[in-house]
Amino acid sequence: MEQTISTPIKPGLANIKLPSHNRLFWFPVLVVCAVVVFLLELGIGAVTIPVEGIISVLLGQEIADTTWRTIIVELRLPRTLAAMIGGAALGVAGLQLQTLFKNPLAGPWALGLTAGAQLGVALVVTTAAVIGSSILEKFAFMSNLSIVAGAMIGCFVVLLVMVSISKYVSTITLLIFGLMLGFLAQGLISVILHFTNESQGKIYGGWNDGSFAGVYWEHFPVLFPLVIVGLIGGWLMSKSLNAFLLGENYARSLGLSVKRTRLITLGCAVLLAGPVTAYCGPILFLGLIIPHLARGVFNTSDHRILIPAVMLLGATVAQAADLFVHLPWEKHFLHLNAVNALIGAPVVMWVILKNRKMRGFEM
Amino acid sequence: MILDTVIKIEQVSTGYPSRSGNQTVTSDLNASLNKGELVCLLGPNGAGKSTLMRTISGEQKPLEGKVYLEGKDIHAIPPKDLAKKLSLVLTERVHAGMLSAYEVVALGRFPYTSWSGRLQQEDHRIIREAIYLAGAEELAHKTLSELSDGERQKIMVARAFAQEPEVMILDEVTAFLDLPRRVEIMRLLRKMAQDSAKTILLSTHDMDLALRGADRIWLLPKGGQLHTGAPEDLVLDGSFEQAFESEGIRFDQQSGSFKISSTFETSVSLDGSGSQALWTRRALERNGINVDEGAEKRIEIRESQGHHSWIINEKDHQLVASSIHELITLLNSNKEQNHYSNT
Repeated sequence: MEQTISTPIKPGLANIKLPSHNRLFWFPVLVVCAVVVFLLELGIGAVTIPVEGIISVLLGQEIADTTWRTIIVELRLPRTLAAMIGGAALGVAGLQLQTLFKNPLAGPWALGLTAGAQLGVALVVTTAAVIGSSILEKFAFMSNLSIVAGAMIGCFVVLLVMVSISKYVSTITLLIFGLMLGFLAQGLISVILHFTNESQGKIYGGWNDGSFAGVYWEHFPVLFPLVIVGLIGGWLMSKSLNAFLLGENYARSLGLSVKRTRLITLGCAVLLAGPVTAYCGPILFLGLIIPHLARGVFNTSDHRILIPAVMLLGATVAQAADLFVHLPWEKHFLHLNAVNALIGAPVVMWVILKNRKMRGFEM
Repeated sequence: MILDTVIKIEQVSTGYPSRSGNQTVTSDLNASLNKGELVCLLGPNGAGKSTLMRTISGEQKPLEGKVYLEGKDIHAIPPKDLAKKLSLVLTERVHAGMLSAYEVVALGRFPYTSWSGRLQQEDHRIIREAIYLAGAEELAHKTLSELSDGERQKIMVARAFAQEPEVMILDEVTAFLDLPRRVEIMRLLRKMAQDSAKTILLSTHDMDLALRGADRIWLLPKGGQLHTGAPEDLVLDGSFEQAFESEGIRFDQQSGSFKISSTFETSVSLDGSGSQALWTRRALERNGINVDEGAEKRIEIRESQGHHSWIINEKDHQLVASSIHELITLLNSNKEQNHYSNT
């Protein structure tokens, strides 16, 4: 055993171990994973493209097979970018909601935010059909914006409802309430879609399935800035979210403005979950499970580590799920949410079994 | 000696404002906390201890009057500045996910760190100091969920200390702890008050610990005035008896504790000294037997070769008991016999 010389007055001080964040080595590992999955996403599909081909296309070099360029630039690259942005955004939103609601199973989907966004989009689509979509169609960018706005407003309204009832109900009740809100939104959506025309309804139906493949280049000018603002905002709030781990009363006693922190963080969650749902449709499970994976990998609840970790893990897992969907399956077409459920449901079960707070009635 | 007053409450009425008139909990309170003293707030349930604690810590505004921290109105101090002067420990159990005890104590540095929350060398020194003072060196690297309730509260106290406040306010922090843990927390608080000149206000139900551990006591009876003073002064001037009178229990000045039984059926005189006599007396009183020098029935405690025996002397006979339990049994059966012979 190593002998340490310590002052006679305070012999104990030398023995206090600092919390070791020696798991930070996972960051480079995750970056490598993300890059590998990124290359696989661009390379694998109905047509397989070798790595050299991908790199040439990305660097804009001349290549023999011009269809490769079309496949990557027009189809796979926007889809992959959407998966990265979507995974990171939903993951961070999930982490923020879990900390704010002190609920390990919170997430954009579980709390009904996704459903709110869907309802918002359905309302916008229907309104467009009723007042004559030709006007909106002429300004593709406008319709683009209005759908995102619809989704964000829907998200925000649901979040307001959830925040106001969270003071009175237990963790589990809140989750059930969120799920019911989701069903309610689905019901309303079916009714609303009666008033739209057939083609719009079909488009909505496709969107309602949840996929990163529906995101095109023209969507990024809206999607990207909103999500970036949400992510940076989330990252800036990580110190405050750490104080929130002790509970609101302690957070307040540390000089934190609880109201302001709550508002900014929830605002970020809307900026993250709303636009992603607007373009990709409802993506289930990711927002809920990514924070748990990040906590598991880095063995900490410190948001200063978790926020970047969740971004990286979210981007990687979402890409991997999308890659699985787009493997050259011959027999049938796989749905993204089916793959998400395959990863997500076991994680949720594990969280429920592990979490003492969820097991008892004392919530 | 001039005492440094850290907190002063003047003409304070606590309660909750509502549309149909204010709901006053306690009114017209005056008191002060001096630097480096440990003060316990005692009082029966429903007297308004928690409301008063929240008012003093700045969480809740008083309906009337002012609370001053170092001469400034505490409710006018911005939360960020207040956090550097005053820290809190609460009753509630903290679930801090996977944060280690060290990280929880480190959150005490929250008001001092930049937006990124990065800890400087100095911050680490203060955190270690606090952990050391709390005797929690062994706990530092464990996650909070691994700790027992007592250990958790110890960490929360260390965290409050790491906040480097002038005043620490602790609301029923020992409520769900067992006796050794309660004593440990009290000892820790005494050390913080004496060695580091922290001013500490602790609200508690634990009368015994407060009487022994506090420099001064704030006694808040239901609907009454706040009595302040050294524990002993409050015992002697009868404030304790008054404060708890309405609760249907009796505070005994002699023993400094509550009496379980308040009516005596018979009296005996007790002949003996030391702890044997003290505990015999307690057992007798619990069983409704008053100890009175003039009583006819006499109980004598004898010691021979390290063994004690209790001898009951009555008019015509003697009974010998080898333990207090036996003594009580004999006295009770005696009582019944007397009862039969009388009827």
